[in-house]
Amino acid sequence: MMSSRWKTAVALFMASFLLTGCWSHKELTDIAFVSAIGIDQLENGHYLLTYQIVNYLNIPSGMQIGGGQGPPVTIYQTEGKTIEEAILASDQEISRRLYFSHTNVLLIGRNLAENGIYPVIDTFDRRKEFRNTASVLIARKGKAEDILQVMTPIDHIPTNKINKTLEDAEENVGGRIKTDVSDILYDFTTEGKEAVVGSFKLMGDPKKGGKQESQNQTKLDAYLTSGGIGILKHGKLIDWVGGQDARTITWLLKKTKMTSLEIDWAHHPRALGLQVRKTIIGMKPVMKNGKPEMHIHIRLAGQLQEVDVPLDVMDSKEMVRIEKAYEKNVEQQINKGIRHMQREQCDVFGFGEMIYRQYPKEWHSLKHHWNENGFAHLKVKVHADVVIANSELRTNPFLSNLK
Amino acid sequence: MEKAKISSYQLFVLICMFELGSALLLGIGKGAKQDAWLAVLSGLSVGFFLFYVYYKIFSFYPGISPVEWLRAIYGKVIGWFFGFAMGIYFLYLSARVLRDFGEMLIISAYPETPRFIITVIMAFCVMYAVKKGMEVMARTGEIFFIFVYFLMIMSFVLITSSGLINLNYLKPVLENGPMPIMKTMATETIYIPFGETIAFLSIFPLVDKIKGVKVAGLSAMWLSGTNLAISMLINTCVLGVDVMMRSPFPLLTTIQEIQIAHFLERLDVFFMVALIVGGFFKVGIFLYAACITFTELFHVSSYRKTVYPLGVIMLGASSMIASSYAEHIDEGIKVVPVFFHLPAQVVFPVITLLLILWKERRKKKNRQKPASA
Repeated sequence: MMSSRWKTAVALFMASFLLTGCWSHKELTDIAFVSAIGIDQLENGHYLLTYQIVNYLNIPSGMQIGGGQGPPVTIYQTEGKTIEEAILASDQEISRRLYFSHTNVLLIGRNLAENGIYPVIDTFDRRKEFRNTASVLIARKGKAEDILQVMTPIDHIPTNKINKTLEDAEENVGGRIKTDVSDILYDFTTEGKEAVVGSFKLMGDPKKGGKQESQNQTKLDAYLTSGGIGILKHGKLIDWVGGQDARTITWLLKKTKMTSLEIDWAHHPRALGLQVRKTIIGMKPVMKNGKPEMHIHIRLAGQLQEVDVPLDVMDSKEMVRIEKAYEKNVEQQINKGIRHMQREQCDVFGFGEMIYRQYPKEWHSLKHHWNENGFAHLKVKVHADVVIANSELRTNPFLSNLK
Repeated sequence: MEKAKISSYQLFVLICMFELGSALLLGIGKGAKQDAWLAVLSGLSVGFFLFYVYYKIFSFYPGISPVEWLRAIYGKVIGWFFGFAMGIYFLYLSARVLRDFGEMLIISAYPETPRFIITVIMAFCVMYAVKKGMEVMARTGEIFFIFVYFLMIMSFVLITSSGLINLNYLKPVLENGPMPIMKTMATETIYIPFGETIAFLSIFPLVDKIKGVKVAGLSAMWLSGTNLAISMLINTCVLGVDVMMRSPFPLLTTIQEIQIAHFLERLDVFFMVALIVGGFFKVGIFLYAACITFTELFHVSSYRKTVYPLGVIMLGASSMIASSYAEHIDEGIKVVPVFFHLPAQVVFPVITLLLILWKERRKKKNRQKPASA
């Protein structure tokens, strides 16, 4: 009787050792949550890493107005010959261990992007704490460190602002893109597709953006805004695309659902505004006489949002003519965007990949120097289909009835 | 031999857990690239044949352990030798699977913990369960079976509903013809995990109905095999071929991609639990098979006495078989299938079955002769 009690006691005692948890546990007070990492390349080739660390105590929550005393994020910087060395060097500077599981933004300086981002992507892809769902961005103007220093009102954590802005802009406007580490890796490793990457830029005075006083005014001295699309070839930034060409890219990558389109009508410049609500895109490679061809079909549906000319909206024949004009306009835009990329010899649309998936046998002979020999001279047929569903709460514009 | 009885449903559950074990974790058929799922299915079809061979051998000697029928077929000395080789083979495989899971935990979750500590905790759990006997293992399996399948269905729903699946990644199907699939099948997917059911030869005698063995076994292989194919299909569709090939644990990477409404994310730990449960059964069944074999060979009074000694050997071997993860996996892909799995899972059982059939025919003839004379 006694002995079995002893056995139980010993077993329970031993079990207490297992209950302490992980071998290498870290308390919350021992780790620093990194919300964004900025990487710049210095002139001597070293990497300068900027960590934006979240100060949870200083984030105002919904109920409590004003929040803590200090800024919601703090910046630390370390330097190293390799990225890993720079991260290790942070131990000499920061009292806590850097924790990358909640890192949402990987911001790359323009210098580094032009020199190639392969080493950056590899280290972070490999790290077990870092999640590949973090978005990758390029600092459009200058350095990543400047952007990470800027405080943002409304969304107090700058990474939240950056990601939300890009997500919204990508879907609702087009011409902006949010790519995460897995997307970039996929583009790097897939034949017949080149990578694109989003960007953010700092407007105003970078020196003032880091001060909390700068937040105490309605018009900010420095603020962050999204930038156009960076085109990567072999991991190196070769060009920026903005405006309609950038929207063509997000359209063809099936990222953009809504946008607005305007055309001239009856000799009035930009007289009609169409609010696109729905976008459907079909792309199909076709082999003709052993040569590949891309057939693109885009279908846009939306409503008239702006009518600046006298017009009979209820006349269905007139509407068909407007739709036709829009179709021509969209086709021109897409052709222009594709020709832009063909001049760059950079297949960011993944036409090569589509040919590979559809015609694997033919692809074998096409894949060598696809960008230069195949994509640059690829014949692309674009067919647009625009549907104007309604004109919102009014039919004819008041311009038709002006006295 | 243990005096235990398990039902055919329990055998079904055990085989399912055993098959899913490390195969779900490591991802099988990666050599066939985007056709990995086809390689798994073709491996399964050969697996059915192999399982039928094992069942057929067992059906000629129901109720006695593998070592006993090996002696009956090959004679005392050669039979003992074959039995010994089988025991070592099972023990080695249990060490390999233990190592797989130790590596997984270190690489993905516990970078600073020594692997030995992780494997000790896991190995002692397994040894305890094996010592309690197959009835206990089987009942544990019934509970965990529901748990694991709940998690698997959950993960399937979560992945499909978060829109991660891109079926285009599967194209082009059969890019280089059927040869890469055949090659992957012949060097990998037949043996791991389907041929490994040879370990169940030590458990078949415990099943209450002989007929139940065939039905339960084949249906368990069908269920787990199709599930493995689906998991490889999803891995490819979510990650793309390149990342799938470069991930040591593709399913874990796939789970990490889940991100629903900025709320359901970072679920990998949740699913690691399911993987570990599968590993527990796989290590346990290999260890059990080794214990049973060695008990018979050395005439130990009860197999329970061999559990801890063999378990400690397994633990030591799991650390010693390879010095690094790369070496471990390299052996697992290049050496083990050709030199261990092929002879032990295919050549030896098929020859044994042919021998049995030949002997049975001669017996019948001998029986008929005196009757006619």
